[in-house]
Amino acid sequence: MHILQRLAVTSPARDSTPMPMDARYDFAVGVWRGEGEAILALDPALEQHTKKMDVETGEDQKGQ
Amino acid sequence: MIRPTVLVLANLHDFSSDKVCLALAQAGVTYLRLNRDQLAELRLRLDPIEPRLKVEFDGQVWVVDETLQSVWFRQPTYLRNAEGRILTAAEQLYRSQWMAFIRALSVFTDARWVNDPTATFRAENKAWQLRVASLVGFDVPATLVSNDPTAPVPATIGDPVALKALDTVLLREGETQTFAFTQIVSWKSCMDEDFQKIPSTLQMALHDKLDLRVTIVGEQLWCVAIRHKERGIEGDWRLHKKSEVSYETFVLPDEIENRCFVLMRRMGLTMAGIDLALSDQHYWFIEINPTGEWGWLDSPERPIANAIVSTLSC
Repeated sequence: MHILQRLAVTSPARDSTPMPMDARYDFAVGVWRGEGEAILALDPALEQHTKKMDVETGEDQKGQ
Repeated sequence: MIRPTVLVLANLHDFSSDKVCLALAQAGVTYLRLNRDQLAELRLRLDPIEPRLKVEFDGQVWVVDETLQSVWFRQPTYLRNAEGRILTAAEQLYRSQWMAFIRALSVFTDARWVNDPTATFRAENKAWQLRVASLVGFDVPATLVSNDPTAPVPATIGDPVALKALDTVLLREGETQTFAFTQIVSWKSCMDEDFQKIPSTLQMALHDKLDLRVTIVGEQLWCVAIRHKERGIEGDWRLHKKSEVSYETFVLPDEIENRCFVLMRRMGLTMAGIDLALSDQHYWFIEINPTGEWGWLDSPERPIANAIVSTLSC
């Protein structure tokens, strides 16, 4: 096995990225809304989601 | 009927695009966000000659036409094949044709694309990045792209060496996926019979380094230093727990800032995330990410979303 593959970090595979829990996507505005129509992107507690839920897939949008 | 002046091309999980949409709304800009993974839920009619795109969803109609000013392009330039299973014919059809539809939106040639997909595609080439960075005056670590286990790496690059993939390594096998981070390894550990099977990037390892992330939008630049428990990080900082990593504003010398802007212009990019490393009093160029993540850095101190909207609106 090539050393790049040997040293790669393994994580559980997922066929699709899970949608935010208890939230709906507001198509007209282009944002996710949570409880009470709050906008998830403005919730500091959820900012971790911006790095693809902590599963690194590269920064080129090709692996998501 | 709404005629958007800004088109946001993203996917449902790109939460940083939520921030762009909010800032667009607050600025009073008419916009439409299309998510690649949601296109089949919409009714779309594209006239490529006019050009004109009609979008219907949930009783509402948007028409994208010559009034379109700009496009926020958060799309892959191609899809990496990391499925780990054979796609059904229907899945292959869905995947290829919707990606082609996204590419077809390039008919809006009068709009400002941030970034232009062709510039993004070219700038994703990591070897080309190093060459251009060197041409504009950056210090670039000695690098060799090779599959040759007999290459004189200790003498030319160093030992240990930073081992990197030439392109993102995201592999799927069964129920697991693997991602290759940069690893500091001995050259001896690379020199086995499998090394020759694929090319990889061998780069001078930087020690006692401080990782710097530079985000550029148009003429604005923000830089943060990345530390683990208040210290610089050996190897790839992404291998540390996020909760233990801090990102603090860092002021670059004017000369380095200017060099970042020159690099952007040379590559034809408006927005990107540049990775630098400060080591031995040198600002080393590591890589540039033309579709880089930035939502994790957006804050009142670093109003990146607002800057993107200003760029899209002007």
